[in-house]
Amino acid sequence: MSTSTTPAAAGALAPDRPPTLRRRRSSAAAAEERAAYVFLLPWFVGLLFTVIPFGVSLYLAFTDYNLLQSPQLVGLENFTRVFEDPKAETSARVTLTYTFVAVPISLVTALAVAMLLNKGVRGLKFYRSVFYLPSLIGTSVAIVMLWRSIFGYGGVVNSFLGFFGIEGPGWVTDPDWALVTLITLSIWTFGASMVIFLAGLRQIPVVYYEAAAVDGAGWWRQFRSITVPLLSPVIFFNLVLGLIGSLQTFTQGFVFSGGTGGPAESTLFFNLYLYQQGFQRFDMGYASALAWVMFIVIAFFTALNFLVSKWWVFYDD
Amino acid sequence: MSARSISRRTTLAAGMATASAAALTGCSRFGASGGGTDADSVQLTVMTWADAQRAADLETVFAAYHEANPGVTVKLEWMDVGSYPDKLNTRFAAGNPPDVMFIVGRWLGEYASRGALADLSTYPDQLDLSPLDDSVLASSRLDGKLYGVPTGTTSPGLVYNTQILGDAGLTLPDTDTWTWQQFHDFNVAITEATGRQTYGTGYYIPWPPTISQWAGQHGQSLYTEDGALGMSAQTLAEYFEMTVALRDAGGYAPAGSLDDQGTTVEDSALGKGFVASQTIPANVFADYNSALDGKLTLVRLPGEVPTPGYQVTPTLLWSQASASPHPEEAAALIDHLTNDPASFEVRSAGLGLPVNPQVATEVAATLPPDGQTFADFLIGLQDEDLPPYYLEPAGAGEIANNLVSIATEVEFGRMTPQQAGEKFVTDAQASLDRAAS
Amino acid sequence: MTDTTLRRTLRSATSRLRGVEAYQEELTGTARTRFLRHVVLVGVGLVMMYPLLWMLSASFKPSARVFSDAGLVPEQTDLGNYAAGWSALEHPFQLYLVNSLILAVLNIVGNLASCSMAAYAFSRLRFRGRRPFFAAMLGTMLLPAHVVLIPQYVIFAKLGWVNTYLPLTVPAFLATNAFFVFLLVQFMRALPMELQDAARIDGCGPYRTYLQVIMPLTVPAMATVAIFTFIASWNDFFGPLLYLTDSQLFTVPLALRQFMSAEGASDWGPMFAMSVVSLLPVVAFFFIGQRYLLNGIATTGMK
Repeated sequence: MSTSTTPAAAGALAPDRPPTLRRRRSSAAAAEERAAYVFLLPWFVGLLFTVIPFGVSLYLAFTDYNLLQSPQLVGLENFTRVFEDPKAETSARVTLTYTFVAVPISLVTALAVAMLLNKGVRGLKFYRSVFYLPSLIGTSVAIVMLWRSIFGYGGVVNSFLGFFGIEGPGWVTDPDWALVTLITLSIWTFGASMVIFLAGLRQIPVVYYEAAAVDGAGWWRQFRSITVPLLSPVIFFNLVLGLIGSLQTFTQGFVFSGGTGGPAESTLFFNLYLYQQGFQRFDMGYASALAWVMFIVIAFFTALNFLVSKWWVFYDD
Repeated sequence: MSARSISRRTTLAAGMATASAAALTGCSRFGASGGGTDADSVQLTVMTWADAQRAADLETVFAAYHEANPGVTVKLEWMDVGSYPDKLNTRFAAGNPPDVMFIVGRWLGEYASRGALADLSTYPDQLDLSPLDDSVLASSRLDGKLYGVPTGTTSPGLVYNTQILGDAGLTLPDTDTWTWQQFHDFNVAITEATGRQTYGTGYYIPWPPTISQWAGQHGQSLYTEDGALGMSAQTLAEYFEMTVALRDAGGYAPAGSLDDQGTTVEDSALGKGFVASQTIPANVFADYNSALDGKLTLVRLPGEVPTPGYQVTPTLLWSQASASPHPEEAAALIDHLTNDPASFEVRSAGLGLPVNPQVATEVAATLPPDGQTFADFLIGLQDEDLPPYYLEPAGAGEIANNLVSIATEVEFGRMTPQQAGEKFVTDAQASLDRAAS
Repeated sequence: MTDTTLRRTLRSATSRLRGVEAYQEELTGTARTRFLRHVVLVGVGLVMMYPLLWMLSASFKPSARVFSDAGLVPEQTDLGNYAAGWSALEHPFQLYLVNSLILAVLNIVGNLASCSMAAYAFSRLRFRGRRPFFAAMLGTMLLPAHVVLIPQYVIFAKLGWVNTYLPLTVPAFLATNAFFVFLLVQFMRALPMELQDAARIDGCGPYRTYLQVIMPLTVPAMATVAIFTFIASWNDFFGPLLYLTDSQLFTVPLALRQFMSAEGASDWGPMFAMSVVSLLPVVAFFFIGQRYLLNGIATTGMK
């Protein structure tokens, strides 16, 4: 079976499959180690641009820093503030709601469309490109204006609803609906995960399905017993990265609300809130503390994901 | 877009196309930058937000300035307003700020109280402040130091779409003296006359200048002279009550129908004819009117006599970084942008009426009709007894943001005006305390 | 001739004549379900495409009618938006396109080389500190960008790199993008280890194995990295905004912003026209790249 070439066969946190060939001479091992460091050399140099800023931001999290004057150490003050700040709580709620609604829906949509396309469809390339297009275009001014025009009070969506006698809300101005609109937008860009799913589905040998069909297994049975287990490494990969990306959502909220997180804080993502603290309120110390709290939360979810994956993700090795 | 600006833009583009081809050979994408300037010439960096037209105008001013002062080259860095604060703050934090820049009055407190800006009153030889009226400078002063010179002055104004009024057979009352009640009735009448096709008004409720004026009409001010909150919860609650009553009566567009992020005229409710009126900073009247094919008229906000509470405020400020390596040259440039009528030739009054009275008279005489309307509007206001306008303290930016949020809560009935007023005062106090600590 | 060989011959004949996809389609479901499938796909496709069609149609409308004329087919077309947009800004639009292209190409080359090297070490070589280094690499994905922005800017400013393309390209050559390293690690782990063992027996060292065994087999993964890098670099607004100050160095996203006017009349028509122009390279790149994306995987899957 060929699933071992599944593009995204994610494993435990660190890949540690031992080379199968035992080496007798330790000099070979030493050579391999030397080679590893040579291959990692660019990455080590690159750490200058990642690790130093990381360290600095961690340090700043323990200071009072207003961007314009030198930072002053204040101990844990910023961190205790995080847990007493009602706006931090609001933004955490917005972010978690968004994540736990948008990620599953877009994964399911991506998987469903990928399966539909995998059935062997005339014009596969065309459909694939059409579905992937929205993921290509980023969040430029034109795109934002376009969405505002479509979801505006007098926009196409409401005209369409009016056709059925429904008076639609202001999709971007109503605090009860703005987040729903943003979730819709994120689902619109399901193409990226769809492409990865499609790649994974193409690896599953057709014979499995043929055999199952001979045994009288229905569509649902086939999906549960063949597709899900064999696709699980890919599903896992999309889930992990979808979760990380979603918890870090910034641009959508920023561009859509003009940086305010409005209407009425309904799109105040955690990342947007910490940006406001750092760049609009000149409180970079507190922003850094918020960022590190977020870091820990995301790391926790990611670790949890890897942990749980042992029970539902199947690897060929 | 007027024919005038198109032709100018096209010529500019054509000129720059040839220039950039030449420049690129000398300009390196990967090497050290700024190689084009002479070693003995001072280079000043000016950072502003603008659109292509305004940027081209400023480039013209700076090119002429370089002609007159060969020792100084001015480099303009401009971007859209949304990106401006991020870039400015990053550069300040990195110790690499521009020499001269735009600052909004609402941010001035933050920068000034933290030593980021230079005291402009310490360069009397370069920057002549004597022709300027001191009341104009009052809002840029903190602890006796001057942190900005206004690019010009402006005030809030209301614009009405005269075509909608004409079609509805309505005439504006005397808008120099009209009351909020008259405003209410007039807007309700528009909505009714158009069969709810157009709503009377859609003015931006949480806009600080409007609220500041409302406070002035109640004998208060948004901020006091020493940077404290000067507006009571009750006064703001009454403001919200007024808006709720107007909306309930149909004079104001329904909840959720106005998109306050529509950053351009065409895209706004006014541009689409969804509402008949809106508040604007009066200095942009010409831009609005050209986008609406000259259908607009500029009138005053309602104001109960005898205290109309009107304020004439700086549009923006020219400020100078305290870290500028060329403070004297930078101050001289600000002087040129303030006191030299020649520097207004292409810029006109887009950033407000010049603060130097003599320059203002000269510029006003040469303005195109829409600019003239604005100048007359502002000069007319200056004849009135205006309440003073103070520096907005550090924290004012956040207070303005909170106001937007609170106004939305009221709009959707999730908060009563009374609750909104109280929440505003509590939050604002917290913002001021935190910013001061 | 047995039944299976007959079928195989038939299959290859049909597929050669009518295309594999058409043949596969006939295998799955009745005419009615096939029809329904296309109805669903076209329906979803229309919803997906609507905003893009809207933008395309807006690019032909006069600026004043972009928002008031709601129809997809503009009642009056204004081809002049493209001509006007091309020369509306300080520099002709091709300058911004060339600048963006230079950055995109350098980022692709950088990411492909450096990320694949790092991924090869993490997935295929044994060395001390592999686990902690790998965890650290993953960790760099998890911190919000805004709090590292200023320290990063300070570093680049100290190096004298501000207002050059160096801050926007050099990091790509240093495997700083953990997402791509992680992606490639996953791909490389999935390759059968026997390949490497066979290579070693043939006397290939780690360097030759990387170049001659691993690289050719990870073409689809590299295509994914290239496409994602192109998209990310092409659409990046914040990096160029912070680091570039000379307008001759500006990229497409910065240029598009210049059509915006905070107050007054924006050139919407030309802006949408140039937005369409700026989408074309990304779309073209995807169309070219997708061949390697999926077919590549399918081919290597048949080992």
